[in-house]
Parts: sequence; C-alpha cells; structure tokens
Amino acid sequence: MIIDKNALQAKIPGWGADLRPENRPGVPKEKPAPQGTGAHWKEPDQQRRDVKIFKTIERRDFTPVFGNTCPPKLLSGKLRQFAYGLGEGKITRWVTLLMSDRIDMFETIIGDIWRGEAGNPLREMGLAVEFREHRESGRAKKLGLVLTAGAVGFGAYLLLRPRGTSSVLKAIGRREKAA
Amino acid sequence: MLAMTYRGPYRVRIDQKPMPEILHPNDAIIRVTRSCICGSDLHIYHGMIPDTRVGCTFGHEFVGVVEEIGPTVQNVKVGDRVGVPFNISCGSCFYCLKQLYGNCENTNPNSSLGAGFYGYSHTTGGYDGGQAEYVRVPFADVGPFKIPEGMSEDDAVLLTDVFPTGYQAAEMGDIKEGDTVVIFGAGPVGIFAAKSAWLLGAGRVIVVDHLNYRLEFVKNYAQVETVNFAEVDSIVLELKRLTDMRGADVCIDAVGAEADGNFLQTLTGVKMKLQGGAATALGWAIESTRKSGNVSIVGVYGPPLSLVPMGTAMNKGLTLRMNQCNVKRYLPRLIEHVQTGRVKPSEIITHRVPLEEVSEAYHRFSSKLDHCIKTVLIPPRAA
Repeated sequence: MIIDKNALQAKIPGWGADLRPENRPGVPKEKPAPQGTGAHWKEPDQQRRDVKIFKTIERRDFTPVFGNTCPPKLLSGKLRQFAYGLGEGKITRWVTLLMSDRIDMFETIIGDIWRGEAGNPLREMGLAVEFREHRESGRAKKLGLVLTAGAVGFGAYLLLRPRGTSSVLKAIGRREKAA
Repeated sequence: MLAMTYRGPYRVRIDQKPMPEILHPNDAIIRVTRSCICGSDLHIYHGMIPDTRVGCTFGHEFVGVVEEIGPTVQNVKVGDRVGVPFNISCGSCFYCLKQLYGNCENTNPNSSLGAGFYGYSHTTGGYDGGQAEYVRVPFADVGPFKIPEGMSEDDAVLLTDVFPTGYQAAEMGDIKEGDTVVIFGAGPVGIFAAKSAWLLGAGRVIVVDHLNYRLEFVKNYAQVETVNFAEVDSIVLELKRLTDMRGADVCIDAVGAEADGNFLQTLTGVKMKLQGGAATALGWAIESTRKSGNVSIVGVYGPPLSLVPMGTAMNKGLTLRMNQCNVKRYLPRLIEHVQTGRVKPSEIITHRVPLEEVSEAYHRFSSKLDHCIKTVLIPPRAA
C-alpha cells in the first residue's frame, strides 16, 4: 500500500520507530540476551518439596522451582492424581482436571458449612456492583423487572387461588369419589 | 495478609492467607503496590482453565517493593521498586538462553505447554499470584526489573504483561512499511497491539470488536479505524471489502477463548467445554488475511484442541505465529517508548479500586460494566 509517511508521522507519535528489524527486540526469534539473563548459575538450586506436587509424565524430573499453593485433597485430589498419570495430548486428562475443579468447589462448600464458615456466594460473585453503581444498566433493570414480576405473580396467585383446599387435594377427592 | 482467593466459577473473595515464604535461595518476597486484572484472568475466573484449585490467588500483572530476598539474590535488594514479568523464568535453560522466557522449562512441573506463570492455575505451575499484599517471586535475579526513576507504578504495571504482549503480537505479524493490520479484540492487549502496529510502520490499522465503548476508546487512543462485527452481516466479507477484496496483510487474534460471534463455537467451547474455548476470532483472522499473509495469535486458549479452519490457512499459504509473551526481552525497548512519551500505558486504566473490593472488580470487568477496560487493584499496604 502506498502511504504518506509524513502524514502518518505527524498523526501518530512514534510511527515507524521500530520499522527496522534491528529495533525489534524479538527479531530474530531465537537469540541470546546481549547483557545476559541475570542468571549466575549453570543449574539452578532445587526447591524442597514440602507438599504433594504433581508432575506431568512428559517431564523427566521436577522443575527447580514450583508453586506450593493449594495441595491436592480428598476426592478431587485423587482425580487430579489420575489425570496427571495421562499424557498431555489426551482429552481425558484435561476433562478430568476440569471435573476435579468442580468437585473441589463442592468439597470446599461442604467443609466450610461443617466448620460454620460458609461464605456469602452472592457477595463473592460481586453482584452488588450491578445495583450500587449500575442502576442505569440494562441488566440491573432486567433483573429488577424479573424479580418484581415474580413477586407480583406469586402475590396474585396467593390472592386468587381457591380457598379451603389446594387443587392437589381437590384432584385426590375427585379420584376417591369416582372410586 | 490479605489476598484474593478463588472460590469457584464466577466467585472470588478477599481472605486472610499466611505470608509467603522464601522457598528457594533465589526467591524474593514482594510487597505488592499495584496489581491488575488481566483479560486472561477471566478465563480462570470463569472456570475454563483445568486445575484451577479453590483457594488459589490470581494475578500475574503486578509491581511492588522488595521486602525480603533469598541468600543467592544479587540483582535486586530490599526496598527496590520492581515490576515482575508474568512468566517465571530461570534464565539458564535451553529456552531462556534464546530469550524465549515464556517457554522456560524450569518453572512448571505440571505441564510441558508453558513456563510457570503467577496466579494462573496449576496447569502453569501452581504459583500464587499478585492480587494480594505480598507475593513470592522465584528467580528474583532473572524476572524482576527495577522501575526507572520518574516512571509511575501505573505505567510500570502495564509493562509486566499487557503492553509487551500487544507489542509482541504486532511484531510476530512481521509488519512491513505500509501494511494493513487487522486486530480482533479491543481489550487492553488489542489496544496495545494497535499502538504497536504503528510503531512497526503499519499503513493502516483496523480494530474489530462488538463493544462500542471499547471501539470508541481505541479509535481515540490509537488513532485506528474500527468495525463492530455485530453491525455487519459478515465480518470477513466486510474486512475484505475494506481491503480491496484481498484481505489484510496481517491479522492479530487478541481475543482468545471467550470470543463472541459464533453460536456453535460458543456452545462447544465456552458452554460445553468440548474444545479449549471459542476459536471464533482466530477463525475470522485466518479467513480475513490475504494469501501469503501473517496471522499472529496472543489470545489465550485452553488445552487440548480448538476448531480452526486449518485447510483455509494451508491453501492461502499463511504464516501463523504465536507464543506467550517473552516479557523480559521487550522491556528495555518498551521502557524507552514510555519514557519518550510515544506510548502512555496508564491511559487505558479505567478503574482503580481497593484490593478488598476484588469480587466486585471481577464482576464489573467480566460483565463489561461501567465502560471498564483495565482495572488496577491497590492493596491497603501499597502506600
């Protein structure tokens, strides 16, 4: 495409500053760092393993460092262990891990209730922001409308339903009469 | 210390967690002063990334002050203001020696698909992230960079991922002078990819999204043309029409796994999780690039597969390039761009909120409320 360089330079701050390959840090794709990487070791020291850490079967050894947060536990942990026994190309590995994540969630909820520490899911979802800051947003209005319609509908049902017996009881009565 | 914790899909909260400890001689502990919510954090927030465990802390974009160092750390000292690239790299492996820091093979025991990342599930190493008051930083002599005098923390925190990722996206497109570049996604990475395309000499930059407020923002911030894909019959046809029916020289996928715009992709990728997310934007990128053109992918997809039109890519002779960003490699040049005023990253920040309001911050960003583009979380001990 034919371009007006002067116009682009006037309009865009820094236009073409990295046009030349030598100004592009990622060109060529593989090259050593001119000032080194900061590492002053040939082989890094090994971090201690204090908690259960899974390792992909596509690696020979553990890496020198790793995260130690949230070690596996309960059923979700067993499923994760199974998943880590599979190769990374297998869909079963990833689906099992996703399934473990959901089980982990339910295990945590049950554990929290057991300890009397159940959180507030609505607060954790941050829904308050819909109402506090975004009353004008369409979704807050829609949610309000649905809740109002539900409340009005339920109220109307309570007011207009036949008095005395419920429709279920009436149906049972009719069946008994017929018998 | 206070830290954001994951509770399950769409649920996060602030909790008290134990202080991080030095676990390796080259570790450092950083007191976080700014952390961001990244677009890719939404994939884990939505429960799309396998092995995301309840109780983990997200956050891979953060800056702070060095609080404690391990016995072998030489390149940073207590009290230094540092930014920390989102990928953890050893600096000495086969990949790090080629400056492919995002592919380091010494930091993630859990999978071979990438390096360790802060706060991004056990699939990327099981590290806690920086949406907390303190965070453990392994290989402190390799990753952290000292924030130059005069640079604000708001600018610096955007150098830990989003600006370098956008720049690398444009660079991988191998943009030549005058090229037409189409960028899918007007989120933070797409915005910086647009800005970077100009730095690399593009002649025309077009950004595609369906959120008008984001298109409006990128039009003003990066002086680009915009197309709302929801307002045209076929985005591919529209882009061809805009490029002499040939297609763009370079297309960039800055969307990833949760793209809108294709019911089948959303159903199988996002709702049913039968593939690693909805590859809608990637499909459009392949369809909209001219023959022999380049497609650059920085949108994040989950493992193990995605439905993309490979036959089209092959027949058109496209070059597909992709990678996690090798942040460390780009920092000297990008710091220069910030210091000379060519790019002012902090201008994309729309929300600065206390860390304690993390649940609402995630919901606001996830639901695109209040014209949210970039959220910065500020811990109570930031000052």
